Amino acid sequence: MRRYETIFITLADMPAEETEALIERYKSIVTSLEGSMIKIEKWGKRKLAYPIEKRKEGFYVLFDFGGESKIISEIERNFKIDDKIVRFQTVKIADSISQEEIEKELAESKKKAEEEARRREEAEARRKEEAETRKREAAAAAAVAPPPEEKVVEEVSTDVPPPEEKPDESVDGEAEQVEEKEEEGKVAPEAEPAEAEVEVEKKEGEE
Amino acid sequence: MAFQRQRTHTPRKKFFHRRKVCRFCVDSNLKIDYKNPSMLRSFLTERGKIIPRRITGTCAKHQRELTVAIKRSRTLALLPYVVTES
Ligand SMILES: [Zn+2]
Repeated sequence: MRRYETIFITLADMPAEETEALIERYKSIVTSLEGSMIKIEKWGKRKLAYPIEKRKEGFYVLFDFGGESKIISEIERNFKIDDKIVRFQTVKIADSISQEEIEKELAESKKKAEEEARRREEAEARRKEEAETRKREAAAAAAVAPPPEEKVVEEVSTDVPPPEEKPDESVDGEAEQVEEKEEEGKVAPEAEPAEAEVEVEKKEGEE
Repeated sequence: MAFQRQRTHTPRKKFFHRRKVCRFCVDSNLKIDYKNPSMLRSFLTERGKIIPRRITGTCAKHQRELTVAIKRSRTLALLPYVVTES
């Protein structure tokens, strides 16, 4: 059994469920041909370094698996037919991988996923706490100095309808939701794509 | 004797003779990975061309690995083939 790494780019503007279904379909090709999936990384939406079929963005997915070469020919045949696949590339990582090694890798990637989940939970808790303290501080400030507060409210109410009833809370709630969404999109590896994205943007800015 | 004298008298090149060493030989933690475009980018010119090893100081072995990684990365649109000014 060999170990392969396949990265494919699918459409960035597809609904999340469709992307999931597509990934599931390709995963089933691997497993139906006696391949064992070691890990699936969803890098998420990334800017392409050059346009492909006039697209500027793509959704990157990585499959890391063990199996025979017939899997590659079958999965690539399907990639070629599928018009939702923008680009794909398979790289052989190892000429042979034993079942034990696969199991070891599986255990490791599972552990990593768990750690990742825990870290995310902790970050979430911290964010909530910070929001709480901010709210409390704002409330305290309002209690101490009411005159400037009134002014601020007046200014705001000119563009936005008056959120007089506990304005702090509603704002905080919205901000949190946005942040959550962002994280969902980037479940991916070690925040690596985000970093690259920033760099691509910087480059373009320079030009 | 004569050989030695000659050696001591040969003037070393003065201009920019900073000996460069291969970054990958020096730092074993630094991995050449086609999935890490931000690292590979430091071996590309602004136009997106691969910088020759006589300039970066990379050893032959690692330069070979590097070019393969950069080309794989380009296939996946993680790195550009060309960067044109506009
Ligand atoms: Zn080297």
